[in-house]
Amino acid sequence: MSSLRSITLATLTKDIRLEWRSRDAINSMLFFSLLVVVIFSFSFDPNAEESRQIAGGLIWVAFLFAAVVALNQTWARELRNQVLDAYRVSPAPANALFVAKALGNFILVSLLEAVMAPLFMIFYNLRPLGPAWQLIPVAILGTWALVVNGTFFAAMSLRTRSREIMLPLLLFPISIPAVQSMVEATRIILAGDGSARFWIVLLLTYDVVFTTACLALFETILQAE
Amino acid sequence: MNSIKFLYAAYIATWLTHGFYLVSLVSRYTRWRQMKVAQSSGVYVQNHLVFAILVTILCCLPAGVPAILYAAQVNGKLQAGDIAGARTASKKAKMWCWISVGASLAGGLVYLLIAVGVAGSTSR
Amino acid sequence: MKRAFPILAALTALLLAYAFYEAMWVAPMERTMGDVQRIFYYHVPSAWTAFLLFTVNLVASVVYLIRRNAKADAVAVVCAEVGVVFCTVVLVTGPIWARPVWGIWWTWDVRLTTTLVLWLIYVSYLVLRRFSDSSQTPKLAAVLAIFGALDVPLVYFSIWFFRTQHPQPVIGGGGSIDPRMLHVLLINWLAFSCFAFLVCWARYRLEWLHREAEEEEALASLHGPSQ
Repeated sequence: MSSLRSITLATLTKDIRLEWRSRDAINSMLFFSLLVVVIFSFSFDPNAEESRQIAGGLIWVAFLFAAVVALNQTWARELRNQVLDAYRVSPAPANALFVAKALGNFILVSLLEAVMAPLFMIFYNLRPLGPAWQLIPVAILGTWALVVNGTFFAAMSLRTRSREIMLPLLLFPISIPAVQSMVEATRIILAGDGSARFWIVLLLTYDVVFTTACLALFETILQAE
Repeated sequence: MNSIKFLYAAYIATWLTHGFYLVSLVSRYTRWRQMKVAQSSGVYVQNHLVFAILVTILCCLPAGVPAILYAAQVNGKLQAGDIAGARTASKKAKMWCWISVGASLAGGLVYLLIAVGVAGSTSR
Repeated sequence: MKRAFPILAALTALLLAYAFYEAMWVAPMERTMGDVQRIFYYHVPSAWTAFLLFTVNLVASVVYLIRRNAKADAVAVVCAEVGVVFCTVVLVTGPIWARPVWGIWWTWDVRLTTTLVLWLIYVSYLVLRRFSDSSQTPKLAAVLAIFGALDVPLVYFSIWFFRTQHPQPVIGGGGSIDPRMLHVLLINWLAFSCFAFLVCWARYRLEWLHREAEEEEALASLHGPSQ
């Protein structure tokens, strides 16, 4: 058990250190997120009352696109340096690699969201009319839902043609209940109408179910490359 | 009642969908057959059989029949070793298929012109 | 075995024709919707058949993951393809029915939306199969089928709750059904199930032919590039 944790931690810190040393990828993703927010603001006129209704959907669609951009390069470094082969022959449990990757992606996507969310608030003049603190569990659970499946499907797409389009193709249908929950919860909290509790619980269920599935089946996927 | 059209549309749509899939299965099968024949004879010649059957049913029947007849000869000739004969049969089959398509398009155009002409003359 | 196929095909065609006759003329006319309601006899059996096929695909995928049985994988592919065809029929006949009866082409009601998501998941399954060249495609596809199966209850739940918050007309209605209509419905379901079975059988044979051809090619290239 402790070896799982130490391997995960080692892989995670290695990834963060590598990303930090060449900040190109992060910078371009941050700029991409900003562009997405600006384009959405042009396309969906942020007139105060209606914006509160649609902002929930808009913000999560923007996050979804940013997440896909981030996820697409998840395994790129591993592929370039044959790290996956090394992992396959090492006695390290495959789950350690998966958890490390997923956590790394989670941190990256959360960073992107931390940049985009205030911008959305500014451009759309949003003030949450409901309990604003609830946005935090929604953001955490929602991001994890996208990231855990996204990392898994990115690994699945490694040996396919058109790898970059394969990831969203696989991810979007499966993520529909999670996206609906995130959007509804955000809309309810922003508009202050009703309780978002059901959606938060559904997000939690989704996270538990799919994290378990990913952990159980990652070994199979890893061997399959 | 106008809504009856929706009933027919739904039933037709159902069978069209199934029909597309079945046609795709048949064409995949004929392609497999042609591959087999190509492996044994070393040469790959298209037999246009699926195309011929489709145009016979959907377009012009009189032109479709020779198309089917020629298309059916291709595989036999290939297996018998008559490669030149197979190629001629394949070309003729393709020609009759396109004749069938052209005939039905021309027929449709003529029908349209007559219908518009009649409508024009009666509206006066 | 091979001779049975044309006989079964003829019987199924007869059964389908009989079921069509029942649906069009024998079934009683519905009070509120009129004759358009007869679409129901094609829409619902197609839905049941599609769900059945997707379930078989799930079982075959799990069997493949446990036992690596090539036949299970072939069954999975076949059921996914034919299931997508039937699911397409459901998604096409649904709006065609909804438009004259409820005035709208589409509504985000529980059943129609769940069917749409199921269709999306299985289309992505077929795309994965087509785009993945590696010999491990069956494993990846099986895992995707499992993920899809886990997803569907969540989809159903989330839309069901959404609907209780934002009610809208339910397509297809609930409630009890006239026993004569049920009879016609079941006959159509039997006919479409036989049809689905035949199509699956044909597709399965085709799949085996393709796999044998691939094996032969692989063996031939191993024995040396003589050409």
